Amino acid sequence: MNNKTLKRLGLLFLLPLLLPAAAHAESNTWASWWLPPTYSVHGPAIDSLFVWIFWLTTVTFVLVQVTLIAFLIKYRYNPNKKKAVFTHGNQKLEMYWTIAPAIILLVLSLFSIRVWNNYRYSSIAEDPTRVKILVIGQQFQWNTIYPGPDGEFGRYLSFPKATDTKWPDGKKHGGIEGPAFLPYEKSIKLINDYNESNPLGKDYDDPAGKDDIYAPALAREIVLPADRPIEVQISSKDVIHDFFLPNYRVKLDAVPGMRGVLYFQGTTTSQQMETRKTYKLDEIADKVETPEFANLVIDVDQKSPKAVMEINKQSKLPQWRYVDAKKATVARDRSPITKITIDRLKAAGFTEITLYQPFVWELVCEELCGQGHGKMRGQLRFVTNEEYDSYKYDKPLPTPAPATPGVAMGKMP
Amino acid sequence: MSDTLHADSAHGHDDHSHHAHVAPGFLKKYIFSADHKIIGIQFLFMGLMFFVIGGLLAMLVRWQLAWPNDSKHPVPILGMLLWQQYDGKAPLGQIKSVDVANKTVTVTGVEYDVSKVGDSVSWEVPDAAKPTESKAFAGTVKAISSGEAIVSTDAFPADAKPETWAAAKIAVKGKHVPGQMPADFYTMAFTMHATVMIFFVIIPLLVGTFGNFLIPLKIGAGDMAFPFLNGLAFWSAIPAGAIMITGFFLPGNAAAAGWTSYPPLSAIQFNGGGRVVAAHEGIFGFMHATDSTWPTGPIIVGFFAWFMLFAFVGAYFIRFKNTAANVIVTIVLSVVVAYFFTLGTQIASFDGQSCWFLSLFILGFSSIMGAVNYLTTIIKLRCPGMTMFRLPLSVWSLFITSILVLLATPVLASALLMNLIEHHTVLINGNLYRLASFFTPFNWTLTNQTQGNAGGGFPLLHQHVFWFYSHPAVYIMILPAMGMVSDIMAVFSRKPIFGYRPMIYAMGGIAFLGFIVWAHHMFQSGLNPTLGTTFAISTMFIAVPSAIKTFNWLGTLWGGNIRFTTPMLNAIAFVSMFVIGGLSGIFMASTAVDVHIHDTYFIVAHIHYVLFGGSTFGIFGSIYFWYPKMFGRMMNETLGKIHFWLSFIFFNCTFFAMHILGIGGMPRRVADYTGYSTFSHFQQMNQFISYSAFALGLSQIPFIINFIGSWIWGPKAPRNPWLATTLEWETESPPPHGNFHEVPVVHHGPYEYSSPLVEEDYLLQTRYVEGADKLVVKH
Repeated sequence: MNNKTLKRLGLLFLLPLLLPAAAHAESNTWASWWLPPTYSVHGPAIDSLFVWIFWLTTVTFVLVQVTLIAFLIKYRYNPNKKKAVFTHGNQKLEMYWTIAPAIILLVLSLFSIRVWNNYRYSSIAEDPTRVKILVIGQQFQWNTIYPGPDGEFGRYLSFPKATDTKWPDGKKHGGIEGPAFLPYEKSIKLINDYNESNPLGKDYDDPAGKDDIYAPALAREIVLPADRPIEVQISSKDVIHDFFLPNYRVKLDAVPGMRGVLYFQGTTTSQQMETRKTYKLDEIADKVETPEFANLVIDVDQKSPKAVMEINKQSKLPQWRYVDAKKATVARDRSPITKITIDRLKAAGFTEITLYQPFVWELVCEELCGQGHGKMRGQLRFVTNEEYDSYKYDKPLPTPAPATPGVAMGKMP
Repeated sequence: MSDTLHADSAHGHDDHSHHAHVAPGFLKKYIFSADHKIIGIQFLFMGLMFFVIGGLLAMLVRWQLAWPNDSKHPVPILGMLLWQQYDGKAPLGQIKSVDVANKTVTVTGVEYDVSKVGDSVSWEVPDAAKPTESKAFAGTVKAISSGEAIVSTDAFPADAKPETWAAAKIAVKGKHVPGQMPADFYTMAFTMHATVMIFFVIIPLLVGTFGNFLIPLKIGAGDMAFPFLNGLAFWSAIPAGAIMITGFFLPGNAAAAGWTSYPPLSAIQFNGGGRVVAAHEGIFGFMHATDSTWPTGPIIVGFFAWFMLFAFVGAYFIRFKNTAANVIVTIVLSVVVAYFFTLGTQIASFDGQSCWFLSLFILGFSSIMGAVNYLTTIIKLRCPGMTMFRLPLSVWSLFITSILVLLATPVLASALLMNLIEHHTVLINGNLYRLASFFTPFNWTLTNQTQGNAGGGFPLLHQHVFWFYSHPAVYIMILPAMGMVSDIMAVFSRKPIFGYRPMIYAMGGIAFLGFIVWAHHMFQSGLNPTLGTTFAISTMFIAVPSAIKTFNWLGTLWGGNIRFTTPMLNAIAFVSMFVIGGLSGIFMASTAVDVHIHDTYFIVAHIHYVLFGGSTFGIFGSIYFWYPKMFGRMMNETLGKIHFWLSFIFFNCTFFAMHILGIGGMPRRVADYTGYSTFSHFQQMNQFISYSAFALGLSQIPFIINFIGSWIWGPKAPRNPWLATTLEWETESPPPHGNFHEVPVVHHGPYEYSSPLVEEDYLLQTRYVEGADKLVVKH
């Protein structure tokens, strides 16, 4: 079977998708009984395999149950019937119903293997344009590390033990060479201090880790570009967690002592999911305290011609902001709209402002990790590649090499 | 030789008929029995008792999922008992001055937002007459400002002195309100629900009860090959149960790492709480029980459980000529040994998780002893004429199950022992060491605690070893039900089983494949993806023997004369529900689809369709079917049908909807899903499931009434109430000690219903009819 035939067969998979998709169109609280919408490149293949199995099992289910009920009705107890049919079986039938499911399941396995290999052995692994992030699970939060401009991660997750004669970073802490030289209670205290100051066990001597970006805030968003392939490295600091993106058909356990790798690519930016609306400041001044504005945040529109706008370099993470003539901050990107902000904006000469409700995809921990398991929610924000590059989270997209004239000439007859 | 230790020679059957008339004493007949029928019934009671516990835990889990984060729906009873809250906050502050004239006191140190005007408050002050005792007063807050509050009281003593009242703490006396379930309790509840249901309900009921009761009766043996070992299997399950229940009463509560107990989570002492108390001084520190965490109640119960085990051993091995001497020596020895075992148990299991490991480790012994017994009995003690291919399918299924138990349980035991050792820390020279690190890796740490973790282990190792047992265990939990359902279906269809040999080969195929599919639980665990593919293919193919069995059951119904008795209804439900459970398994078998549904409610739905829809309906059917043989009374059909229909309807309402949650991606084992915008819209669905689950719980009441009531008021059962063909229906109901008065002789297969050779529509296995063994009709 060549590649083209396989592709055509793959298209067949999409046909059964139509019905649930139609059901999904009118989604309300009771209607969303189907798979959550997919936003990844490999997702539709998994979904169509799901739908394929769904219809296969549904047909089998209906056939078996209908036969069962029909037999129960047809052969129900009849006092006039002295004896039932006396038979010990049928060898031919046994053959048929052994071989038929075996063939169906074999074909299903082959399709499944193809989808699985495309997902786990993705070609993204060799793609030089891929973006890397390192996700480290911890009770009960997710830590995201960006490799910085060099595109490489440093070493993480080396923690001192009470029996160690050297600290993981090789330096002295509390004036001693290693925790083993201290009485137990004291060494535990020093180890806890060490771990608190270096929660991810980072090796600060590793040159690759010098420019890594990590913000320890809880529930911080993971920011990723939508139009570049992504490599997620997953590990854990304490117990087993599970990195699950329900909208991306991506799942892998975060196992301490292991570094799992996943590849996927998004299709949509968060901005495409948001609706932005521009409001006149005078009109909304009285309404900003109402629930209508409760979830809305300010969009610091970088293209706005009137805006005095610059990147906020004080915080570790770059954030755009409006500044007034004295370079004082008027409003930050994605900050909530309040009465004070409106006054400040007016003072700085603004007459209107763009507001929107931020859209994030959810990151779910799917492996029991303790009592706070249900609270271990993360957020995922997809941005455009330009915006991502401007954050300097990763090495920028390499410019494609210009076609050398020699090659072009070589092709000439 | 004892009257019960007889069946160990080739001539055991001949000896046996003499011994059958020597009735053992009350204790040896009903308590320390070595009779397989009594032991089977003991397992039945144990299983049903744990069924109630496991079921109630499930109700708690469902309550939390229906109303997470909703203070308007506090948990009934437990919310008042365990998680009671004040609607006010305490303490208010300290008494500063007393105004006798106005009957008020001024309270100082009042924090912001602690109380409001009108709150009831109470305080205690030393009694003027008796300084050692204190007197309680109550009052109402009259005025409040930051820092100070004025409290008035009616019961004001005339001789109240500000000096004695000063510094008395005054507390707001709010109304008691029942509270919400904490997340750690929820985690414990579903962990213990699964553990109890799997290890203490389904396995003891299917393998313990029916394995014991049916095997000797159906193969025409007087008893098991090793009756004493059989009794030991039951009595060692009792300490296991006691230790598992003890977990609830220990600090930090029972195990809460899921029934799979994945380390490093399960390696954390006091899971969730994170305190280390069970550090024993020195390697031999375990000799001192001074740091026991066990309350008195569990110690007494644990001691009693161990005592019964050793008293059972003593009852059969201590045999002086004098009965009184026997009893005294047995009691004294059992007390001494049980004392040391109770001591050791307390040290080995100091928190819920270590109780979990130790309990299942001991229960494993029980399983292995049972399996050895079943295999030997089926191979060695079949009556004359009973060839392997004349065995009923229930015996075949128990035979194959026993092979699974014998090969898989030791592997679980190794995993449990390694986990138990890893769970312990020991204090040597003031340093705290984890006893071993089989599963915890080098580079891990726990927030704010060290626990002497040396590391060097591998977390996935546990998963491999655990699932190497626990996947075959799924078949341990379904194969006996399949066999018994086959028996029931043949009886009430009045037809031979369709494809008797293919049914056996299919069970063999399931058992074999069951050993090479374990890693399908680990597709998303970081396993090598190619290894995942290998296991995906073997898992896909396990659907083939399952399909063969289903089609053969349909073939058995075809052309039958089907009687819809309660056992038959349950058996049909088994087939129907097993189909759903089997088909939903195909989704998970595909590694790619499993990416989305792994660890979601889809898995929960699947396992409940197999273990409730399959095994539990099989158990219900079997209880209704063999109850007359067990207790000599017929069960009430009307109550039985009410129980069946209610269970069947609410079971489907409860668990079918879980598929939808799973497709939506809702994670299992999460106490509160409302924080996720992706899943918060599932609350209505969860409430529907919970209402159905409560109804399913209540639906078991007719069964309890029927079970107990029939024992007392049920009509006496004849020998063969269902007009069945197998050997157990030839003897009295209940069978006498020794089962058969004469050794039965078998002439043909087990399912000769509607045979054209006889007048009736059934042909007993012992009834000789010319040519019946050669009459094999194939359509």
